[in-house]
Amino acid sequence: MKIVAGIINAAEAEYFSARADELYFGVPQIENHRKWYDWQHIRNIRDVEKIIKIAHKNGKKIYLAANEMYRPESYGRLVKSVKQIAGLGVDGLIVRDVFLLDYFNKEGPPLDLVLSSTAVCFNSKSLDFFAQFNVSRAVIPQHLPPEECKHVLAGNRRLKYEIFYFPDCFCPNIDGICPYHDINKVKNPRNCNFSFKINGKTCRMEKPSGSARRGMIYDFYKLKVDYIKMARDGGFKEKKAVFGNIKRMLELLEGDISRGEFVLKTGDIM
Amino acid sequence: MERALIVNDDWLKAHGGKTPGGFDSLYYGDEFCQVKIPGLGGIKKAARNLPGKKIILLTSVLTQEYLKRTVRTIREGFSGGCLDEVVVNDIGLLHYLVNKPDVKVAINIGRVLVYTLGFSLRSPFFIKMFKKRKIDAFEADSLDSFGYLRTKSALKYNLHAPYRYLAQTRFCGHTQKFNGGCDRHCGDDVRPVISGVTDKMFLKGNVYLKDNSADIARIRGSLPAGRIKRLVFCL
Repeated sequence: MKIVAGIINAAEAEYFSARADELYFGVPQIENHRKWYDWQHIRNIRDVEKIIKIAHKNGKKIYLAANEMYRPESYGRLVKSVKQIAGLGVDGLIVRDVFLLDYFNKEGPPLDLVLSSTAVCFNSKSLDFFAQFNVSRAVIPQHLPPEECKHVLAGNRRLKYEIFYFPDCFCPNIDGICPYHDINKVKNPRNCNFSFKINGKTCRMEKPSGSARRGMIYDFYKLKVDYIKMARDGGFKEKKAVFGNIKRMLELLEGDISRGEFVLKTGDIM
Repeated sequence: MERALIVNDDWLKAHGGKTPGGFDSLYYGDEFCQVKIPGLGGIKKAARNLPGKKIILLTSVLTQEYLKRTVRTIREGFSGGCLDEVVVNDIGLLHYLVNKPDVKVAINIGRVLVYTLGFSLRSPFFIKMFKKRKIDAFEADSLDSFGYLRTKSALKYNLHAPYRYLAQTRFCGHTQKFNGGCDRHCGDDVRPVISGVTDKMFLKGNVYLKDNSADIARIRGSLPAGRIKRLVFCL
């Protein structure tokens, strides 16, 4: 299983391109699924060029996140921005918008098209739909656990598959179909973290436990999922620690460990 | 204008198998939970027990197992003459039906799928698909969902009230699993949620909803006459 690292600046590009297998980033002119986190974007086109060069210098591919739904009036501008960054050598796009998928598949430039988990692809026919656009990889939605995914993966091994690093990244609701995410039109990305009351009882939107999420990673590893993604979130020091945890997990998995032992030995991670 | 009521097995059981008057059709199933989508037996029983009501199959995002079940229900329902309209919320189910010309059910694009595809519904790709398959009806519940669709077209809208869709989960807080051993613990009640994020919020099973009464009047006022084909109610 290869590691994809989200990066937000040149220092992270240097560090993670020497250690991860692949990088990805976002830019403010192409809205991506971090619209509430301006500081996670590479703001300057010269810095975009720099991080692409850093990745390639270390023999690593680097992808651009373009995984939102876009207004038709912005398509011209988006295509122009993607083409500009493609001209700087970016290897592919992480995308969900069917207009963009259709456009870049037909018109080029030739880019690896990675289907975002926000495309809500839960079955083999959904994969067939997106396969029309020659996507090379699909990021598995967080709410599709391994036991419901195995037949889908077995049926289409032409594609490569990717999961998130779940201890760090797990939405309580299905990501990609969540108007709640920005219902109040305020720059608050954490609506789902707020508690609420039902019949006077305080409740939260629930997620799987830490051990359940680590178990999911084990199961996806056994299903031979190709990539695990570390999101762009967090400070540099925190991300180094997260990366270290991912490496530790993969080393344990490569050593033919049982599921129970794996979950136990990684118990210090969330 | 037609009036439709959303029902499922739990709802029908709780109401003695009967529906109130004033509805031309029933949206039978669930937009958000695949476990609540009926099989062919349920559809035939509903058609038998509720004569005069058009039965429209309401479907959700589908995992592999439930895609197979739902496809079987649609194929058998259609060939058996008891099903001719489906609300589709899964891109895979849409892809399947579009490529099966022998299964001529009318397809409505569900409000979750409208949100999933967003403005790309206006892309040449989808315009071509909708024309080929004669898809001209879309479920909508807010000014946002209307905004995704083409503004100058012959599209028809089925307008949902009194709730708009906010979010759905597949993770069950009761069993702490994804759909594993579902015992329908969540039930079918609509429960008010007191939230600091937004007002008039509700929880129904695995889905969060928001009252859309304020939007309904604006939506109806903003569209040319005849564009809203159906009002769809959740009681």
